[in-house]
Amino acid sequence: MRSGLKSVVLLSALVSGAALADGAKVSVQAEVVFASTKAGDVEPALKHMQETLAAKVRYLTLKRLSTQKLELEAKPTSLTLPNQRVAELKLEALKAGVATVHVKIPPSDSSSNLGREKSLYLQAGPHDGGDLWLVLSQPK
Amino acid sequence: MKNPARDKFLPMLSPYVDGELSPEERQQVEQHLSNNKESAGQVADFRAGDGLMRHALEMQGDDVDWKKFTEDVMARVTPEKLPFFERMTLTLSELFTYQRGPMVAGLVGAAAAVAIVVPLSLKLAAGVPEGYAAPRVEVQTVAVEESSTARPVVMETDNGDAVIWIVEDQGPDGGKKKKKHSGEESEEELKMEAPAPTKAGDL
Repeated sequence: MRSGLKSVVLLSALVSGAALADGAKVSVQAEVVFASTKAGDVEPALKHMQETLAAKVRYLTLKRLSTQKLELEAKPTSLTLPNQRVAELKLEALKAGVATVHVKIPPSDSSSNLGREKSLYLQAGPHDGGDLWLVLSQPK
Repeated sequence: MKNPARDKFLPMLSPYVDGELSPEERQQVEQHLSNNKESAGQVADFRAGDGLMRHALEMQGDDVDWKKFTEDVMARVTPEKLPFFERMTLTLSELFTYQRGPMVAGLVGAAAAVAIVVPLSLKLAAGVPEGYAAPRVEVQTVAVEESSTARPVVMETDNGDAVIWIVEDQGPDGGKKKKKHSGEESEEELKMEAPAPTKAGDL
């Protein structure tokens, strides 16, 4: 009886793991933003980002370089940034409707749970006298 | 004594009571009745007789069970039930013919309701896409390569966003490169770990 229960639990775990590996996907909007403390323009859509980052740095220039919708799955998705760094994103887990994504931007890597209509700002290294930021959020 | 006027109007009295005369004849008869009491009395008798007759017929009518009569008539009128499709077609045809206004108003109302409800339902159903059930972003772990002199700083904001900074560590404990963020540390604690970079590009 007990071995039967273990088999069921093991099978369930394997099936759920296989489900993530095989078919689970989560859409994210990935924006690459150039930020600089030099005087310039801040795109209206990036005002919120400016205020969020102002806790550390008051950026006076924020410019969106690219926006794309990515379908993250267990297999990593690569994203080449303008500073030649390559960001790797993958879906690490999907539990109870909450996606955990793993993002590797050398020299760092992180795992984060995505939030409804919230953004994850990842600093992606220096670029052109400023900083590059990778912003992950729920697709609009 | 013979009255020639009464002889003339006598055949017209019964039609007068029954309302079968023309307006001109009716006027002539009424003028005659005002001058001839005998004819007026006869008209009164006719009316009384009519009233009695009507009353008697009504009483007879009440005694009769008309239900069977109705069923018999309907059985002859509709000998067999039409197929469903034909009945619906006929019903719709009659509705559009005789109740066009209310029907059009009803259809317009239904279309408006569908136009409002369906997009709203779709929007609600699509409101939380897969993977975004959490109310805020939570950073689970952050690490940097051993060979790097940078270290991560995590900031989770009040409104649910999260920021991961990579800060060049200039301090003597630069060997502590890896940081595990449990997600339960407060923003203040996390801020304490970060130097205060002030220039873009120095982070």
